[in-house]
Amino acid sequence: MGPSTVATDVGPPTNTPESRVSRKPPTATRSLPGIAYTDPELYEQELTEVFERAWILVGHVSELSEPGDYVTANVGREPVLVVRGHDGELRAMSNVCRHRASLILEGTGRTRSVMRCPYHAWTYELDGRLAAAPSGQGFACLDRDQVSLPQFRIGVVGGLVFCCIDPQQMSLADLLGPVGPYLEWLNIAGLTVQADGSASRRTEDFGENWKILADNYLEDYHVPVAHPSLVRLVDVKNTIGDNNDWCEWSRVPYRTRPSRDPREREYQGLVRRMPGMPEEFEGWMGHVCIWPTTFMEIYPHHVDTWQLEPTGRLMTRATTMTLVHPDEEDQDRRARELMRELNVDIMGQDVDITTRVQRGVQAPSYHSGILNDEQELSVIRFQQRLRELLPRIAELEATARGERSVAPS
Amino acid sequence: MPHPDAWLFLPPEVEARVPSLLARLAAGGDGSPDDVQRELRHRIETLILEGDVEQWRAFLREATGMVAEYAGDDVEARTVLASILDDQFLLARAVSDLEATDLDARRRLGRAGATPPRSSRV
Repeated sequence: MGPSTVATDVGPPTNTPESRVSRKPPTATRSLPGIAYTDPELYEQELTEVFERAWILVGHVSELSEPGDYVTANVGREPVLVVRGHDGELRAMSNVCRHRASLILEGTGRTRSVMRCPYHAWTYELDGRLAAAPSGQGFACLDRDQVSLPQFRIGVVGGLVFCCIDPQQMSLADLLGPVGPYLEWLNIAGLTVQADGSASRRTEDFGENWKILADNYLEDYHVPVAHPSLVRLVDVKNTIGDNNDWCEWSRVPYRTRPSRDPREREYQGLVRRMPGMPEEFEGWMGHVCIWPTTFMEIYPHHVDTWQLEPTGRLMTRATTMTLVHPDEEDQDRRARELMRELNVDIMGQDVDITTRVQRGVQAPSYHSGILNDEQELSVIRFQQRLRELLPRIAELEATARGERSVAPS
Repeated sequence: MPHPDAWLFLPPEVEARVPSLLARLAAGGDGSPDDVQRELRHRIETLILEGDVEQWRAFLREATGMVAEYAGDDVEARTVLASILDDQFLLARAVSDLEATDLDARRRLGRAGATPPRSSRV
C-alpha cells in the first residue's frame, strides 16, 4: 500500500502565553501510580495496546531514495523493515523470516535486488514475496507463491517515515492533527540524515521504564531546576504551540541577550536558519511530541528525532537520528556540534533525574503525585491516553488508593 | 558489499543433486554416466574451494545449456534440474546482480520445465 500524506495548512497556535493565563482552574490531576512504572502486567499491555497499535517513526525519506534502500525498526515486539521496491514504492513489512524466524535485515542500508535471510538464505523480493529457498527440492510442501513477509501500513509526513502494524488504527494524518502540517511547513522532507561515521542512528540504553523518560521529555516544569543552560538560551515563558489529544508541537524563542557561558555564547553567535526553514522560525527552537514516544528537537540549523522503545519493563532504548541540510555549511555544522555538546550535558542531567525517579516510584511510601496544569499539561494528556488504553492502570490506581490488592500477574 | 565467501550458500543443493541428475541426462550420450558424475563432482568441489560467484554463475549457465539442449525422455530429471538451477539464479541475486546471459538462462530453464513458473523481477 502506498504511503499516506497530510495537507500543509498550519493553523495558529492554540497554546500561547495569553491562553495559559486564561486557562480554567487547576484540575488536581494526579500522576500515574508509582507501581505503573514497574508492573509486569501493565508492561505487557503497553506493548500490545500502545506500541503495537501506534505509528512508529522508522526513518527519513532521504535514507530510502533508491530501490533496495531500507531501514529497520521495532514496532512493539514486531521487527519491521521498510524498503523501496524496484517499482519505486515504499513498503513496510515484517523483518522476520518465514522459515525459522531470524531477523532478515539489520540497521539501515541498501540491499541487493533481493533480501536474503542470513540464517538459511531464504531470499525475498523487495515486495516481500519469497523468491527462492536453498535446497528447495528438500521441502515437501513449500508453496513459494503462498509465502511472503506480512505487509504493514506506512505513512510519510514531512519526509518522516512511520509504520503501523495495526490495520484498525486511525490514519497517520488523524493521529498527527496539527503536527502534520507543522512538519510539512518546516520542510523537514528537504533534509538528509547525517551519518555519524557509518552509523545513521545513535542508540542509548537506559535502565528506566519508558514512561519515566517520556514523562520527563513532555514537561518543562523541571527545566529551570535541572537544565540551567536551557534557561539561559531560551525564554520558556513565551512558548507557543498547538496540539490534539495525541500529538503536539511547540516552539520557544531564543533569548537575544548573550549568556555568560562561553560555549553558550558561541552558540548564540552562530545560530541561524538553514536554507528551506521558514522565515517565521528565525529565532525559535521547536519541539514535537508524537504519540507515543517520538520526540523531535527542531533547531534552526538541524533537527534531531528521539525515539523511545521499551526493551524491557525497566529498560528503554533511545534512538536518535539527526537531520541536516544536504549542503550544510560550516557555521550550521558548528552550531549543531555545540548544541550536541550542550545536549550531552542536558541528557546527563536528565539521566540523573530519571534514575532517581525510577528508584522513587518503587518506594512503598509513594503512590502518586499531583501534576501542574500549566507546565505538566502534556504529561496529564499523555497519562490520560494511557489510562484510556490500558485497563490495568485503573486496577493499579485502585490498589494505590488502598481499595483492593494487586492481582497476581 | 557482501563478504567474498557469501556465495557459498549456493552450492550445497547443486553439489548433492546436480551431478547425478546431469548424469541421467548424459546416459543417452557419449560419456559414461559414472564418468560424468565424477567429473562434475570434482568440478563443483574445485569451484567451492577455489572459485567465486562469477565462476559459479558461469557453471550454472553451462549446466543450463545441457538441460535446455536435452532432447531425451527423462522428463523428471530435466524438470528437477531446471528447477534447481533456476533457484540458483534467483538466490544468487543476494550476492551478485544477474546479467543478460543469466536472464537468458532463466528463460531457457523456464522452457525446460523449471517449476513453479515464476514472474520474479531480476
